[in-house]
Amino acid sequence: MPLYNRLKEQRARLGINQTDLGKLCGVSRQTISLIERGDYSPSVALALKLAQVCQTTVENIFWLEDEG
Amino acid sequence: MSEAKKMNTYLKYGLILGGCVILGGTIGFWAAGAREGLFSLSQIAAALLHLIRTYLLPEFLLLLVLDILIGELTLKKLSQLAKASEKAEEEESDRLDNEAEKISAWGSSMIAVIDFFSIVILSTAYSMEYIESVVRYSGGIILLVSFFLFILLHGYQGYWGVRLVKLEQKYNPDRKGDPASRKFTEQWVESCDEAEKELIYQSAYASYLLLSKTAPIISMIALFAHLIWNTGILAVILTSLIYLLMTMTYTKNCLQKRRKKGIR
Repeated sequence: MPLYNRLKEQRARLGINQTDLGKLCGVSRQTISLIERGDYSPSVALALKLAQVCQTTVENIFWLEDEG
Repeated sequence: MSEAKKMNTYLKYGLILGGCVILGGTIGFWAAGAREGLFSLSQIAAALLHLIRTYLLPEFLLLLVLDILIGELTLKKLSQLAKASEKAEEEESDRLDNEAEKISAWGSSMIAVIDFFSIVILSTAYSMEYIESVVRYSGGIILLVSFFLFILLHGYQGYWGVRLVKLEQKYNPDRKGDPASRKFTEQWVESCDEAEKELIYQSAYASYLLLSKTAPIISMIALFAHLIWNTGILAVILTSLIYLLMTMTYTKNCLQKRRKKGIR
């Protein structure tokens, strides 16, 4: 089931790069890049961490295709 | 779209058919030749063995030079890419990281191929009977130097592996693990994040699937080779043992993980 996201927009809103977001969430820059490109679906824990760092909800960052 | 699929199926079928024709023709040629006494497989094997043994020193020298060349070129290129990736913009950094992955995979694969050939070549001369006969007739200096080159080759490969790990750790300090430790692989995987772990586990499972399919075939080949050419049962036992060990480890780990997660 394809998972879409607007992580890049959220990151731009915070004004941080992939490396910094990765450090704040405890993952590598490459993992952030994979998530942004939709090539990797993060675990629930990482999705929650990303939402916490971006000061928003998980649903604001990730959604499934049929919800679009 | 469906037309393209049809073409692919025909192409695939044609390739399979072509492969079967070549395989059947080759087996038929060898079987007929051996039956008619045109050539003997044991004579061909003996000639090949003699050829490899005669040029043992240049063979190991060539492998060592290739090993060092590939190893150094790979490390140099990886270092350049890592430096460039640090300064690059995000999309360019992704491209450079992908290129580095490809070069690292290429270098590691080439070194594994050299490793394979070095062991095959060594095995042709690595018997007490042969070593004693060479020492008796020629003193065995060339053989000794050849064995030394083999050790040097494997020493360099170990050194290369350590440098590869250190290079990765220099540009990615989150990567942990002491390459000299027996627990290195566990330490390395432990320091990876979830996406990297998923990639490692998927690759490990793909390797398991490939091995679980090929191990029984290799065992059967060893069994038939023993049936026809009396090659010995050791190869059959060892290849079967690998299959057994692999299956038992996989099954045991599945059960342990299920128990740990409380799945009944």
